[in-house]
Amino acid sequence: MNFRIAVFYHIFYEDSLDDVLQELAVFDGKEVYFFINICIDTPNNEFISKVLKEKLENCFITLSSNVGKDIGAKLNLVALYLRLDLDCDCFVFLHDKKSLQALKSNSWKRDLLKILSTESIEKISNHFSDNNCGIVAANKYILEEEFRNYQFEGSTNSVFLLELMGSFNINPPNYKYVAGTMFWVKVKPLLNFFNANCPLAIRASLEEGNVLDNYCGSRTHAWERLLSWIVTSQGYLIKGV
Amino acid sequence: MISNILSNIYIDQISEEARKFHNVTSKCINVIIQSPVEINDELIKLLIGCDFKFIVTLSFSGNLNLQDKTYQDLYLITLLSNYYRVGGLAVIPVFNSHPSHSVSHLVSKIESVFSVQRNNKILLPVFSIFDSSQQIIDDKGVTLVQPEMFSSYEFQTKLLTHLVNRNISSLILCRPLNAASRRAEQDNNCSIGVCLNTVIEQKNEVENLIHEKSLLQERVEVYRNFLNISKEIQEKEYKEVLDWYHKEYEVLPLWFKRIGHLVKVMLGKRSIGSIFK
Repeated sequence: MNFRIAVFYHIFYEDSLDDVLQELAVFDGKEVYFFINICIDTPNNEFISKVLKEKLENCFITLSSNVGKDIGAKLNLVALYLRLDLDCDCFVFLHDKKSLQALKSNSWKRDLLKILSTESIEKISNHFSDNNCGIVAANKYILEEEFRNYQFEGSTNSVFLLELMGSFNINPPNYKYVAGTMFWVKVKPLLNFFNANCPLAIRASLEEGNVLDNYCGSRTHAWERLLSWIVTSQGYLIKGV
Repeated sequence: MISNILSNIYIDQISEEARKFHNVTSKCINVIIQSPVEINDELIKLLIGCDFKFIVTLSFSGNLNLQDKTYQDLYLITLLSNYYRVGGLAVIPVFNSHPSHSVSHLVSKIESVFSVQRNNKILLPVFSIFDSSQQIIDDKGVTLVQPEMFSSYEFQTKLLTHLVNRNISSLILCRPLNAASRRAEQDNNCSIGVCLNTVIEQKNEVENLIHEKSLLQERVEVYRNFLNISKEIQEKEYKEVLDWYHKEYEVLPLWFKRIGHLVKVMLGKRSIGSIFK
């Protein structure tokens, strides 16, 4: 793979450091910029940041408030990327997902991280050689919202999705998205959007704290879907590994 | 390369001093930004990519207008993990050398930019030159200093005293980037300077430990909430599974269930003995 990669990683948990370094080891020897955000409420954040800076080359670390969970953090990092004016081919979005409230949390993370195995990276490289492919994610987490009767049926986020799709003019051909916000994405379609729509302004509209969408929707969870749709609405496809 | 950038863009333009900074990675650098100069591209790239700790000081002498982009840059810069923080607070000192101009509007604007991003972990101490012929308009909480002290090491000491009183100290640990920097270095070598530095470092350490303790206490609440939510969600899922069982299986007639058991025996999925237990 000869892509120039920018990895965007959000850390919320104070005991994630070893896992993060292990996961990112797959990029050893590759041309990669690491953009890492640590939640400012995470204990020991100064130490975590120091170790990451020592272990990773080309590493930019921010500490930010807990707004929009990993999505808000990634928007901060995208704003930083834009300010640095780097020239990467693709982004990799990751975070230290634990979903402590869920029974299947361990298998969720394991499945989502399929995109970081050496074999998968080969497949991702092949997928990206197809000009139509915009996003590559773990097969199991490419889900689809059902749109019927002018709403997203069964989704607690329907109202937010409709509002945001209208205000940002996002019209995807289908409603497939990557659940869990861990995926590879080509830079071009993403930056087409974020050059026109300030990521910090979007972040400002997201909810504070550890919001869940089990009982009611949130802008944060709506943007989890929209991050895929801003790419697919420009004619790109989501492929799985 | 860093030294070239520094010597070109630092406002004080003490290139000889600036050239030294690429060697000073263990100290904190005080980056003074003077209005109306915006945060230039080279500077922001340098600060984002640098390994040393730094603090940004805004210095104004009349023109208080900053572009929206500059406020956004200020927000991005203070997010960086190497921005100088004490007790979890990012300190952005504001110097106003023109007392007839109020900086309260500017401070409010900076606070609102951070507040929109729900980042309230900043402190904006304001300093202004004292001039009896002029009045400071509606600036509250401003520390006044004599004009002759403004760009001197004494001024920095005054500023420091103010910060120490608030349990926050930053500039003495920073290498000052102004005309008095060499003198400051000499003064730092004197015993009072060394003692003062030790006191401040220890104060900072205490501040940081208190902050770390509060983060751990907050974390306990986060995990407690996760446990409560987890219990709620799992109870809901358990109820759904039980409802499904009653609705789909328990309502079936007994004879139907018994035939089902025989079918299972015939398919080898359960033993004949288990039927009679």
